[in-house]
Amino acid sequence: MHIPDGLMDPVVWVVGFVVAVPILFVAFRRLGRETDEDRIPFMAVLAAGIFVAQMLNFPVAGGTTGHLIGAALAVVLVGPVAAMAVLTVVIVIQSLFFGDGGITALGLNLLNMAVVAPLVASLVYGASKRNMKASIFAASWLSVFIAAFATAIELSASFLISGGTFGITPYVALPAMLGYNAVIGVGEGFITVGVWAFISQVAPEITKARREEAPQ
Amino acid sequence: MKRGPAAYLATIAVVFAVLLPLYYMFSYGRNDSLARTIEQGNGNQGGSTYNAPFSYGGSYLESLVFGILGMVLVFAVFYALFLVMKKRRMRRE
Repeated sequence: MHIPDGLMDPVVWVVGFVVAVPILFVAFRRLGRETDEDRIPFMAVLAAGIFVAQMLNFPVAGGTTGHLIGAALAVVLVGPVAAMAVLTVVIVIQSLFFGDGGITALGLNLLNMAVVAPLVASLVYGASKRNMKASIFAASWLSVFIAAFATAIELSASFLISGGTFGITPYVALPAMLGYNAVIGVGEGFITVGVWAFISQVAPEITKARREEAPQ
Repeated sequence: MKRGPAAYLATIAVVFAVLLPLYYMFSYGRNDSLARTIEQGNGNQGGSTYNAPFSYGGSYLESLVFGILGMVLVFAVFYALFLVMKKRRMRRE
């Protein structure tokens, strides 16, 4: 779901930076102020793990592939504010060092995957923790689906603002992005629940500590 | 963390090395959801405005090396960022 250069209208990608950067700046400041130093190595390992997980695309219907975003996984393991920081570092390094996602589209990619996806995952996960696995699955699926919806809106806005020079017509962007990502979200859900269950078994102190935290 | 970060990074690298062949078997060279949407909507990709120094590679070995490189880079940048933030906070206090 990494938006490349040259796809979006300049107005849209500038708005991406204008919206995403202040939110992420506040998240980093808050994390720097409030986070226990002992948690930083785990967050850094989580970021590293999400980086390689995002490289491993899995097949979905019709010859299309998708990959884990990891927003819900980060939210359930380290909380929404830290999840934003984790995904920001991953997305910036993907863009600057590996050319995965455009430089001009970096603001939009951060907005979709490091702001929208963790916020949605956090809202869903925070709403119900009675059945942890169902709650994590729902948070994962919706985080992907809403991030895809945001991307489709950005594609459509680019198309409409530029008169068709940039972006994709909403008649294609919305059904295609939502259709593919409804399936990809299922993959994200299974992977997230699987990783969470595995960590609960091998390092229960990590998931237990997070469950006992007050929702941020 | 009971074990050191290096042990966890090594575990992630091993899992990555094991899963990477599946990626090459089932997903390599296939478009993701956005690329597919661009294709369907005849979207314009004006080309990159910046050339990144690395890529994800085109073979198992290349992807393994670049994946591990990226993993270490992400870990180091995240860690360094928070060390700097901590030092700044301590200086202010």
